[in-house]
Amino acid sequence: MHTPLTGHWTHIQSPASQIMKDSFKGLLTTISVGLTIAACLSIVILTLILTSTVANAAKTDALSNAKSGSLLVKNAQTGEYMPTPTLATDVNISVSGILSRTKVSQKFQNNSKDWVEGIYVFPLPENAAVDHLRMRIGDRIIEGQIKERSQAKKQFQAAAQSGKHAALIEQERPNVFTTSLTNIAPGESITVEIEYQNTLNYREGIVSLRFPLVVAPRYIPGSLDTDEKAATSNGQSPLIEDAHRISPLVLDESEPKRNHVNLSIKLDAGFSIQDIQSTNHTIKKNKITDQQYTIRLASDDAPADRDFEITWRSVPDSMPRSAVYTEHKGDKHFALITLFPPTAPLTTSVRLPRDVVFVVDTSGSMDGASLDQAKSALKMAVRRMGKNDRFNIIQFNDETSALFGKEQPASDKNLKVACRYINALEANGGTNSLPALSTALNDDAKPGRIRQVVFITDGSVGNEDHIFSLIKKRLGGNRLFPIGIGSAPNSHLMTKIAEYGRGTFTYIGDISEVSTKMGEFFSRLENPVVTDIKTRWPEGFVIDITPSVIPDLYQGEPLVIVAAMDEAATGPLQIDGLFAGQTWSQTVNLENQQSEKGIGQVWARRKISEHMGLLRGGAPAEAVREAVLGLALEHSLITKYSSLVAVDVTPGRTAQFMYRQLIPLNLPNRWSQAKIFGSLPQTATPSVMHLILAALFLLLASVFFVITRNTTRARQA
Amino acid sequence: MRLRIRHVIFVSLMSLSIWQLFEAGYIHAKAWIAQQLIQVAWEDTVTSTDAQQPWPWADTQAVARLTAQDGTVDLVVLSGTSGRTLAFGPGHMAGTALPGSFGNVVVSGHRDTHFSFLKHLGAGDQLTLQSTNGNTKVYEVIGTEVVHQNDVAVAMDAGDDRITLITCYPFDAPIPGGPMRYVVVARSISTQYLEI
Repeated sequence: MHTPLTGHWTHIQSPASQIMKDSFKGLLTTISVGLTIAACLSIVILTLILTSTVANAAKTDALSNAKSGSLLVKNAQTGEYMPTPTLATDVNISVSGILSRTKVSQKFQNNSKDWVEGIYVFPLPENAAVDHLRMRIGDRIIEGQIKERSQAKKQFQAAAQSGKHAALIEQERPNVFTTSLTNIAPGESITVEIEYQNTLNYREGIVSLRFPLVVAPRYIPGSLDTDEKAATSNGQSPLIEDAHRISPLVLDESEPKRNHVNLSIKLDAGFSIQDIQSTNHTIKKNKITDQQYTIRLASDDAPADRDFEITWRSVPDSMPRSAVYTEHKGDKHFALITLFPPTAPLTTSVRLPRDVVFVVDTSGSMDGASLDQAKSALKMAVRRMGKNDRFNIIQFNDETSALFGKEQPASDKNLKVACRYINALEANGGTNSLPALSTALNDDAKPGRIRQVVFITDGSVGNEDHIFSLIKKRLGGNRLFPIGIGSAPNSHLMTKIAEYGRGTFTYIGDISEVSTKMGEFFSRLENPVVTDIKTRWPEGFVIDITPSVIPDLYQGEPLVIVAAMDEAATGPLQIDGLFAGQTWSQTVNLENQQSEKGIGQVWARRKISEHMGLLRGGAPAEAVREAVLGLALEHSLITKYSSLVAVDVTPGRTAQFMYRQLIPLNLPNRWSQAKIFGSLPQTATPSVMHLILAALFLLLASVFFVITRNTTRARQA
Repeated sequence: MRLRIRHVIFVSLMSLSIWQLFEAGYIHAKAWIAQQLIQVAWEDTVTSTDAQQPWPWADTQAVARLTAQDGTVDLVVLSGTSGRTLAFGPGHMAGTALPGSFGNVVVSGHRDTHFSFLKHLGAGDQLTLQSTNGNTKVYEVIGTEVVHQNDVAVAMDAGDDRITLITCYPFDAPIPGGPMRYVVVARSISTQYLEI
């Protein structure tokens, strides 16, 4: 195995080492050839990777200029955006005194080429008794029926599968409902009409009517958590089972707001009206008499991105001190009694020193105008503290923190510190209110002092029940005063917090309202109330009244009692209470009073609400369900356990598939989407980078090898 | 002497190359081996009521199995989208609809391992998602797009029953951490009327 190419080394080597030498040389040759090939390969790979990266970068730039939407996904074959069903809402409200009847028409329009089932999550006032459903298909009207919830659902699903039109209304929360409309043909439009009865808020001579137009995205504790540990749970909240049914679909920020609303009101106040005002919308009013008006939104088709609220005020002394409405329905008689306690201002000597804890929501949903309102309300409240009062401020988002360790005297120095603290508040993160409320309720009222907790929030939370049970358990001598802020506060949450917390609920919709609303709020906070209210009904009367325990009355609040009776009332009703330490009593005549429709529904709705409250107090679930379902079926009301369902007779669907589509809600006005949702996950590994580096080093090694080998050879030659 | 320096340099360069090759290989090996272990955990998850851990110290669990109709893809989806989780398998994005439920089920995966197949998906391709209770749903791809990572709209509920697969874009960018994402959207075509 002689190779003429060998150098002088060979001459002094033994034969054995000669063989080794040769094989070593062969190996070197092989390596050098291999390395050369590897080098070439590396160059090719590098070139390929780099060029494709550059090309892709250019492509990315072009694509990033294109706008992308969430609901509209491009069809890869046709390049067209796929249209989704749209919805237009028509609201007709008719008011008589403090009773209001509302008809909501939801017109579903299917613009796509597919058969669609439309699902729409929408809000209603928290005390709405929904008792009617109608489905309009062209000229045909199909009336809805009240059914036990799962039965209604089964009936609806059977219709969906057999290709029949069907509509289903379900209650997700007392103020959040879902309409499902199935088998909407391509191009078809169907209207779902629902009707509800409710009573209006009546306070300090002002009646207010609210129609919520958005459900704000709620903070679902434990689901949108960025904490990795929480994220390793199954991705959905372990605390809120129905999270996906109460956190509604919201429209992408970049898309124009849609889901337009028409709203009109027929108002018969029952007294002479002084001024009518709308909090969030521009309205057009048309006067008919001193007591009667028609009102509608100034612009037709206002997007539903904030709640509608109007208020009207009575001409002084034109409002009756008490009012009774009655209804005779089936074998039952119902009566709605409204009564105003005396409002004479009392001497200030009665005023007890107060310990006030302000709990303020600084979560992401409060960002913008809401936080500004909260800050100015808070500052007003703090400045109003007396010399003997003590206070503290607790703020919460994902975390809870407090200004002081415990309540401190309202000294000038402490007030200054507090104002600085308030100015520095910033909104970000989730709404975890439980720890904050729990901290605030840690203490009880001291003898000779009043302890009040003022809870300022937009209430965008999903764990209402946890909050209610905390309040029930820990209230003691404390009083809780929720202040609802922003364009879409959760008024079900607020009303119930006030009820369980034995305080009152104040709603501030706009920064301009802060001073008047807070003024009213303080007069309630600081003035004595009518307590220990009892009713005495005519002898031998079988009666079922709601509320069964009559709450304390704050200044300017009316007493509202709804009664169900086996026979028409004869004789007067007497009401007794304690007003500033003295007994107070008044009689109300129940005979020959104005008859109105819907009192029965109002009574049943309030009864149902009371039963549901017992559930939170630990009453057996089965008993509550039975009681609620009984009332619901009798009065045709939608509840947690009953739904209204309407089913068409003839099947219409011709296609095999039908797609289910949730109709989006607009994000509430001035909400910022980025503050609610984060960003998409990181999904690249550095493996390509490693490969490139490996190729690069291999290339360097090969080049180095070749060069050094050549220099060696040159030296040998 | 010269020879030795030469050797040292050569050997170091080769070692560096092998080290980088190993790093790249490790990422792929981890991705592959983890999937094998998780597949076993998945079988247990479907047959039992409790969630099964793929290995004792795992901080994630299997929540779904994603397969392509043509059999080229078979992946177990884990919960969460942290970097640690994604090394082992595609992850279900917390806060989006759960596999099996109605809504937008968002799953993201690494562009160079599990989700490298996304670039081959086109309209009409079918994917199957099996949830932990054993139910399966068939989805048909309706579109693909490239979005910025801050464009979270794609992860939001679109109102229909869909699955959204997300991976980093471009697929072969040498430096990871770019801001663009490749998104595949597929809509449910299951005839079964499932509870939403």
